[in-house]
Amino acid sequence: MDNLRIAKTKYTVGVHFDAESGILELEGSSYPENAFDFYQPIARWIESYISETKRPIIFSLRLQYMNTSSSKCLLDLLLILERHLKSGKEVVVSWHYQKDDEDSLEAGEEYSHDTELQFKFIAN
Amino acid sequence: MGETNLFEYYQKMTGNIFVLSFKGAVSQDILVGLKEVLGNRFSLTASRDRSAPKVFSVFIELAQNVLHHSAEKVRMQSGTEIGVGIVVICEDDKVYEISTGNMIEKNRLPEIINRCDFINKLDREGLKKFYKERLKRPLQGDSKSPQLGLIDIALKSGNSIKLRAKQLDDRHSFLDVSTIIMRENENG
Repeated sequence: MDNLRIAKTKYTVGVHFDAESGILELEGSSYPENAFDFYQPIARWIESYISETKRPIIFSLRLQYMNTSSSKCLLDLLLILERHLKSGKEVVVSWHYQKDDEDSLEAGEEYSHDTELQFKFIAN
Repeated sequence: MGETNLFEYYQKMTGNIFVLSFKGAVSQDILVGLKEVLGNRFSLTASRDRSAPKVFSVFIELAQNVLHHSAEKVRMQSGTEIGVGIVVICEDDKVYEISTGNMIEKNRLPEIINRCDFINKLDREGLKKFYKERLKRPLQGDSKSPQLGLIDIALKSGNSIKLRAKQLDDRHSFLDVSTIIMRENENG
């Protein structure tokens, strides 16, 4: 399966999904005009990836500002990954945040409560 | 053109300290530019203001509401339609005030007023619960909006959302949405 790479912009996250290693990385800020349109191909890629891979997945998130529509889209990606977990595969979410950014840590903790995925919180 | 009296305008604005004021089509590029203006404002002062991230997020949610929901639209070269409105951020020594105004179809007003009334009555825990419910709810019909914006604005600002509507004609009103955020300067 092809990797998915989308360059980061001021208002959309950089996407580095590596099919071979199972490391799927999102990085940056997200407040596009239409978050749903931006995240749809990303969701499709993850769906087709989990339908064919047995690899453990590391979903690595280094997120800064997210608008509300992007937050919704991120939860939807996590719920797709939760299906992978429920079918007996391994998924870990690495939530990277700046050491003094309590809001980011709190946002990550909220997502970890909303899904059954295992979260690792990493202060940078 | 030629009617603009800048001195009068300047005097009217002098009562408040304006961080920024913009009137026009709030395209995504304009939004990014305004966000940078706001960023410059926060990097000017020596002491860090911990309320800055809140001001950013309230500003973006409100400005994107204008982009998507203003009844007055401009067609861009790409063919997409962009909402026209006004975005104003003021400050004094205690608070930031973030406001937007735009034309809206009159028949959409009651729904927005009801939603704000409902949100303004919730306490912090109630807001968090309502946000989470909406976050988990699948998008409704053809909508691409999870309708989280106003809830998030109330949560981030910690203050009520104020609405002011002025009827323009039998189909349109001008809707003015604003909220305030307390400054949280470090070292006083």
